[in-house]
Amino acid sequence: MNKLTYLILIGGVVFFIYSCKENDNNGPDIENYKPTPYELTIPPTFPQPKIPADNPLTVEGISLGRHLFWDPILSKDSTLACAGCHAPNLGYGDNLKTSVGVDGIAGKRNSMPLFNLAWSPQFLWDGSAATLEEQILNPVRDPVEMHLDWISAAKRLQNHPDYPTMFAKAFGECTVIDSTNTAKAIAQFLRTMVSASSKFDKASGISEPKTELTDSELNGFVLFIGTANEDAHCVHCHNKPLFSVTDGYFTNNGLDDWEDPSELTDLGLGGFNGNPDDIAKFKNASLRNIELTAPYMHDGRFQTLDDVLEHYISGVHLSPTVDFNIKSSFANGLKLPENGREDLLAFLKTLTDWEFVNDTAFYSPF
Amino acid sequence: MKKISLLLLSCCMLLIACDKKKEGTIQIKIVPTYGDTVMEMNKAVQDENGLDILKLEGKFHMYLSNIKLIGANSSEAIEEEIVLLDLLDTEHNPSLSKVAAGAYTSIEMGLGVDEKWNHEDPVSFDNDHPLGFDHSGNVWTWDSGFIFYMIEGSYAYNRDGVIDSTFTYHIGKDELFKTVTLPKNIVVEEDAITALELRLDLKKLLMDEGGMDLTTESKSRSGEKEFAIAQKFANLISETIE
Repeated sequence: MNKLTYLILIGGVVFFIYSCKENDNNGPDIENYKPTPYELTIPPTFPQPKIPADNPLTVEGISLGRHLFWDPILSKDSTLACAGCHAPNLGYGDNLKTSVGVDGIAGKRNSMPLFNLAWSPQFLWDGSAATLEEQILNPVRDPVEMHLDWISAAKRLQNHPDYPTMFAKAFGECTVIDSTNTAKAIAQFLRTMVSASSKFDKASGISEPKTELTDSELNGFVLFIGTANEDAHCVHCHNKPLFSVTDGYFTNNGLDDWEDPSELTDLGLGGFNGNPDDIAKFKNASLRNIELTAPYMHDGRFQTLDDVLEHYISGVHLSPTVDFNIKSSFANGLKLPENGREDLLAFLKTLTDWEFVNDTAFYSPF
Repeated sequence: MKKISLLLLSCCMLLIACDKKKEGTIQIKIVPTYGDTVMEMNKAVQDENGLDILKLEGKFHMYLSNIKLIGANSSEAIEEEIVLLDLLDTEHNPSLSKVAAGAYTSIEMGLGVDEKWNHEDPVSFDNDHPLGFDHSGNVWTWDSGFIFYMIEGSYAYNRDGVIDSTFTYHIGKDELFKTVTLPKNIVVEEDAITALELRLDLKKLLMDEGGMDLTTESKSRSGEKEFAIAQKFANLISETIE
């Protein structure tokens, strides 16, 4: 490298630093620029959300995230947006057994519905993403999903007529447009997707207007929370307010009959962390909006909610890592009273949050 | 003037030093045993014939409320209002800090969650508080109360070495809150950590005559239909813990 190259390089760095820090009277106050803080409304009975200190919610960040979520620009052939596998009318999941990527290849797992992620401690069916930001990095580069390397994705965003300004507004003038900040913006948007206005929430006073459950829904609720004989025992793993397990987070709910892990095609959490005690454990899904998120389980094996109930009534397998509650309460099948099945299904449908799925604040901005 | 100032300063320092309480820490843990054998999660213990008989699985936790140490001269040190002992999380045995240094001869504690907190919503505590949301698997959210203790496992129904049946005890409800006083010689030294071990003999609780009858009383979650079993279990546990 000759002297001239050094000079140009040093000059460029100085210019870059200067341009980022200096505030003349004519330009924007870049150094003191702060995006507008956004306060997430926490529904009654919900705990404090888990929002990372290095990615606070801002109006501009959420807006950018919303655009990026709906924009197919992040896929190889610019045909598939995040929203392609996370549609509002499907509880922000999709209706396929396993999702299909830009190359027409089906992945091995069912698309997870997106809501109340600000309260989730780990992400993906196998827990392989510790943060929402980390989770967002995967689908873009995954060959069976959006199949675009992040360097190319960042270049596209840098060359876009609008995104550089939006990134600057979200994170500051000299923000690098890269995978980290793209993921941060999408994570901000996703954290605003709060679902707590279902019929059940209205009946229990969590949201307005106050409503009442029908007799069948109420009977289903009693079965849902019941833990004696002829109860449904759902509450062990689907407790309120999130209707997912509140500790542990990953369970083997007796889907497969196996003795040796080699018999399994998907090891779940155990495949990620290498712990044999975690084999065949998958993230415990929330039952909120469950009516909309068929098919069910990590591999989409059950087409209907009734199929899911049938699994618990007659189909659980006591494999080596099966959850203790399954072993204890479902080993001999679930015995529901007359009309119990119908009542339970009626109750589960009260967890559908139509206000959430119809909320245009989460819809495409394009 | 300088000398007076120095004298005053010395007096202040002396007063502050005298005012400092002599305190230590107690680290409390619960050890399940089968007779004299210490039990571990997911490992079966054997009976006197060497046959597998009992295994802890699932969950094993216990809340303790209003812990009070009692000294020889009846002096009391109330140090912690609520702790959660979790056998699955032995790395994090709760500590009772700021215990007045000295010798104690017994410990008094409530087995479970005192009524004054038992109907609180977990979200009213910090997430990592023993009663907070991070531990809300220990609460019946629709039944207004915390699960005082949750002991789960499996056993050999026919006592033939084949572990084939499960037991589940989730005990709560205000009326099942018990206060026990256990003789324990505990010496708390200043700025030191003293281990306090509580033992629960599951042989006595589940397998011996006078304990639970697992053929008919193997499950209770303290609901109406199973309340008598829960009551028996709560009585037995208050007599068994030592």
